[in-house]
Amino acid sequence: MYKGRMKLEKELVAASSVPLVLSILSEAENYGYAIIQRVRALSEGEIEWTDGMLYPVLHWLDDVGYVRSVWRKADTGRKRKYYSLNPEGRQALRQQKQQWAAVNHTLNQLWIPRYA
Amino acid sequence: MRNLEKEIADWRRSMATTSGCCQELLDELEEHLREEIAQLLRSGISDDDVWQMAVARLGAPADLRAEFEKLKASRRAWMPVKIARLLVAATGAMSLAAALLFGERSGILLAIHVFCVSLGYSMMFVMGGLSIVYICAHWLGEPALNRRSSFLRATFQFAGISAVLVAVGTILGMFWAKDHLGRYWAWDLKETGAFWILGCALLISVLRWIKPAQTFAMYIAIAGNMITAWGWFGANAPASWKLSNPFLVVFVASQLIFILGGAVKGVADMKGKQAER
Repeated sequence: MYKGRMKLEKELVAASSVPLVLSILSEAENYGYAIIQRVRALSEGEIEWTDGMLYPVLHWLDDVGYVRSVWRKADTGRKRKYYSLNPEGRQALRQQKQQWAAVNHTLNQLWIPRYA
Repeated sequence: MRNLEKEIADWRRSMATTSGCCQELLDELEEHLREEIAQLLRSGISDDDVWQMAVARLGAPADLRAEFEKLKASRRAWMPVKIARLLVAATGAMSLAAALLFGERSGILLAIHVFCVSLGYSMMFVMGGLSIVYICAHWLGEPALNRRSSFLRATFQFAGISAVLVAVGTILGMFWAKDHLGRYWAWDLKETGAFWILGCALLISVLRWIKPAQTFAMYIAIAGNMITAWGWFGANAPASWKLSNPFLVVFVASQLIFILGGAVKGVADMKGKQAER
């Protein structure tokens, strides 16, 4: 799923895909291509998904009721599918934030430089 | 110069056969591909290179199919859901045994009616029990993504099967009533109970397609416990107990407490989210 300067572990990319998508959708309604561009921009190119792999994640989130989707006419004149976060999705995002904060806090404790 | 429209059409045909994606997903992926192509053309890349780069970024059809398959496999059932499915299987076996017993004495019509109604009503109780477990789990901590997904999937499956069984059992019961009582339907306690139980199962089934309202399925499932208890056991109780069977009253009160508990937790969560914003 990842191509770029630093090769992130496949499992790490897979694990971070849901919180990344939920976080981006918590800002505003969005669509697949724009979500990928946003991840690319925020990570300054460090995280690059194989674009098609986003869609299984989006469809799964739609399936479990965390996001809702609607087809709308884009400025290109073609139809485009937009996704937005449901209340259950906001709850799931809050849970994800707590879990990632716990992992981050633990790793930071271990990785703080020790001075002689 | 590459004919991009032809390439896109060929790509779509290949994606359809290899990835197994539905038309709607293909539309979405095609839109994505077109945006990628437009972006690459704007950055000055040649048509030949643009096509190769855009398709490479989207990923191979087989890889996309594998990702969708992985997500399906990751939808592991929550343990209470596994227990619920076992209970339904066990109830099915017992209902079949009961039906065979009735079949010997009272004929095939009543036998199938007994099987359908027993299993259909039992599945309503299993759904209600699963909803109570989910509410209790929610009180103990926020349910994980997969748990909620597993719970909802099982609830809608049980509701659909229960609705079919109760409908079939009720219709067969109508024909039995015509043969033995001279009328199809008289709104007696059992028939009224069956009507409301079927309504409850159908309502839960419909919520499957109303994503914003799916959470209400658990409250309706617990209400289904009350309706099924009254329609099944209340209807079959001695005449003097039909409307005020003390055990039924206690059972109904307990179900109302769980509905209230779930609603209170839901409201508390919403207030917590608003405070965070």
